[in-house]
Amino acid sequence: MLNPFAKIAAVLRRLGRDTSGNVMMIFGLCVVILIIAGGMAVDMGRAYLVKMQLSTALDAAALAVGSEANQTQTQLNTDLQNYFTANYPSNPLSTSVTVTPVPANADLTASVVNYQASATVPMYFMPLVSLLPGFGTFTGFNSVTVTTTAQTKKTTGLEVVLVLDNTGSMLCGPNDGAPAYSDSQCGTGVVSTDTSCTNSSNQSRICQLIQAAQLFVNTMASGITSSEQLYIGVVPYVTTVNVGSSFCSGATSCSHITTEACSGDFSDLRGNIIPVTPVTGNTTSGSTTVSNVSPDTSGIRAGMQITGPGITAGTTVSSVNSTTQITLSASATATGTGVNLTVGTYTAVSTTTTKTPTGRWSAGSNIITNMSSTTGIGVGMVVTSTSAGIPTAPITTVTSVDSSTQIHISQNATVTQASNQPLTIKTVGGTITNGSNIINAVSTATTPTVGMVVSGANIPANSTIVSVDSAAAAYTGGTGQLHIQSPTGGAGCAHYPTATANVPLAFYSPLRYDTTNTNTTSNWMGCVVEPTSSDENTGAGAVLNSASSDPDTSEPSGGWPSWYPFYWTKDSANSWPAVSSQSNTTEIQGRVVSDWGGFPGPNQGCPVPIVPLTDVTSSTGKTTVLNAIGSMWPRDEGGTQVHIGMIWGWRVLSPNGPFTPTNGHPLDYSTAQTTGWKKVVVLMTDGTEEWPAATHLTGLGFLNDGKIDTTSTTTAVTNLNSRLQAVCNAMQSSGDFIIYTIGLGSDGASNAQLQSCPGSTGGQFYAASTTNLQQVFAAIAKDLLALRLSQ
Amino acid sequence: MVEFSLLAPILLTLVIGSYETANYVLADLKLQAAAETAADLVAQTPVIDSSGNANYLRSADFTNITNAADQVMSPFATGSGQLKIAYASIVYDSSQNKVSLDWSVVVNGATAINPASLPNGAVASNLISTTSGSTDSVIVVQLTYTYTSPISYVLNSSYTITETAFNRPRYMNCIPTYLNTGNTCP
Repeated sequence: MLNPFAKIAAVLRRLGRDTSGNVMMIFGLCVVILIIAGGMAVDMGRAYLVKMQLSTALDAAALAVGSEANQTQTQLNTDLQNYFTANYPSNPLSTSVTVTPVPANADLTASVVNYQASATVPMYFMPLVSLLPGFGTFTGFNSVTVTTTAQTKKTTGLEVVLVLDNTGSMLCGPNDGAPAYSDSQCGTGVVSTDTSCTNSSNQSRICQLIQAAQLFVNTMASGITSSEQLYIGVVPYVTTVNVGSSFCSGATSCSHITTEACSGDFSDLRGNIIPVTPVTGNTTSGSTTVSNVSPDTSGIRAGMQITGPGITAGTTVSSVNSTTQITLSASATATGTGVNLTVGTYTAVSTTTTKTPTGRWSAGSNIITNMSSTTGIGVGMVVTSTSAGIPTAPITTVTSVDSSTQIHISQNATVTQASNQPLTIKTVGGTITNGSNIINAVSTATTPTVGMVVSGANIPANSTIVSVDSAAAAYTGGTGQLHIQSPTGGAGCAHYPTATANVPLAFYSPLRYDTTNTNTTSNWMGCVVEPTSSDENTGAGAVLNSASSDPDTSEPSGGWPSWYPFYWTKDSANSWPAVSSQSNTTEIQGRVVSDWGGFPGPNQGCPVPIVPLTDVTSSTGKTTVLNAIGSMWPRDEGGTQVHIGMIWGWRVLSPNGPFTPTNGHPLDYSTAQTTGWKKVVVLMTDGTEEWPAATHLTGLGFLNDGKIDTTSTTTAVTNLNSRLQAVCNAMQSSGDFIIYTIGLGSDGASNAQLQSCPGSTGGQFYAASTTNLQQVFAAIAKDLLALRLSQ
Repeated sequence: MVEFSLLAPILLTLVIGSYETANYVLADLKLQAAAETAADLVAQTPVIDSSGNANYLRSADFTNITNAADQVMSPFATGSGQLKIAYASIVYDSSQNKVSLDWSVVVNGATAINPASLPNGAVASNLISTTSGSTDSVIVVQLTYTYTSPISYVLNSSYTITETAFNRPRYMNCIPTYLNTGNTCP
């Protein structure tokens, strides 16, 4: 009997064993999950696509806003929306698209701006999850919000120093004909009368440089407007730079400038109070005689300190034997012909002898003729007359005795006397006493003043007058009295004459800083000679530097040494007046060869002063910098020392440097790194390193001073090149600087050191012509202000 | 087996269909990136060239930028004129006080940009500052790509897709080209 339940059970058992149609059933069960899973992938893919589109559009919009200048915040916000919308596809897969700065009220002109864009992507398959068993309560998958962010960065916090070429070739137009300079090529494109650089067709290098550098400052200042975020300094250079206005607060009070210990007067690298007189002469080993003194001995008086190759330190002049020969206090240690010697200089000389001949003179001439007698008259005696025409201030002296009827005097007569007139010719002198600081029986034409340097036999070198004890009449009457002090002979200043005698005396006023900084001063204009390096021999012998470390190539670790005043007194290599005459009108644009050396003076080759880091986000600071650039003018001295400019650029940016900080700038290197401040040098030159004639004074002294390790001008250029390379390498390896170099013209293009100087920092630019300078400076400004996406 | 043969077309449609769709979307994303790249390369034109002269885009620069866009599209084929590019600069000329097309360069026969009817519904005067006395401009780059599917089982064998990028010049107000008189902006 069939159990109906057994039948059913059998059917079920058979069904359980039957595998036909299985795939269809499993697929039927799986298809729901497959569709939901596949659909979710499609949903996520769409969300990803939207995110990509948002990101692309946001980047374009953020960069567009960041590149705009001089727009209101409202306008920038509108532009953000417009650029975003334009770049976002018009048929998007999304809704509720928004783009905002973060935070919404962020300053869109700031150096760092964050942006955010978001959109809602509807989910078509995700909600189906709730259909699955057990997921019925699942909600919240109807849409997904995708967000993307962007950040733009503009540079801020900059210390920039512009190191700008002020050498003579900057007087040229686009072409100077280098390396064979010629005025005919130099003058092309130049409007020589345009000394204020206002003529737009004037393509002279200096005018184009001034305009380009001013444009740079204006561009930078308009790009960085946040208060105290941009500091700019200016370093105009030739072979030296002018630090006078930075270091000096008065005519005699300067920091970082070498002075003689007792008097506080500026001194040169051999310890002589400046001014000094360079001469050449022949020395013989073992002999105290120096012969063939050139140009002559008129600037030399007994007692003056003398230095040079083969002359022992501390040697002084014992006597002046003739116009070409002197005797030293100690024998020379070497024999040499035409060696360079340096002695103190003077303005007035005399003995107590008085002669009263007659003679006649002509205005504009320095010759007295038809004299009744020249017997007893010697070089250096003071000439006065009761008749008009012989200047008394400064004192007129005899410079040569030509014959029994004629002498030369130190300055031209101012009035013509056609008939013989009375003359008084007397020496300046006094009585010194062994061990005493008092000089008695002083006879001078005018009263000496406190602070003057006094020289004479047996008087220690660099002695100065500390008190003038008598009334004026006593000095002209031969009964004056003076107190002196002297540093020479040991510690302290109490070193006094070593003999008792009547001696001729020489007085001169020490060099002072010209606080008005005029370029026609007879005083010191403020330029400097580099300090003595640790291994440099400053003794009286050959001052050659064997150089392991030069102070002009790196930052010293133990503080800055002092610099020497750059002051090129009249000497055998030049024949100029006591006053410099380099100015906008004498240094004529378009003439570089014919004017070379034509406008000399003791400050020849001294450019306008350095401007230390100045806050150009303030209008006064910006004006200061713009005016400093505008006041630049070439100083043709025949030399170019780019590395001097570069090292001063470093010194301006150095927190350990000699310049007084402004609001904490220059910043410490570590502070600059942690706060993101950048120290930038922009070095511009139209030339290559060049040492002028060996007898020319440079920022590294005279060639035989040894600061460039050679006495050959050719080798000097090689060494200058390696110094520039050394400065650049040291700045690169410190990692604290960004360097840009600009080479102008053919020499600028061939300057290999300039090309390698920036290394991996900044960049090197080449301006083929003067008209390219503005674009090059603009490009550097843009590079410094560069806008970029940082996130 | 019978059932599998019935299901196979459906499964194949799913598998090949998702490949084809994904490939198409990838091509679209690449095209978008290529458009931005090309526009940004134009917008980043430096102020000066290597010799310090005022810069402008040479004919060769457009060739290079087009090559860059081709590279971005890789591995999608760009030979035989598949990628058409229209470059244009729309500038506000303050002297004439109007917004107009400054220059237009088309590659592979692309349709030139029409400033009066920009893609994405963009309006040129909204993207350019029309302040009197100043120049401003926008770079428009439109890429048109003929997408060819390697398999056309589900989708059509080819589609034409278009992407447009609008970029403001980064370092200049206006970027001149060899087409401009004197190679300078108006």
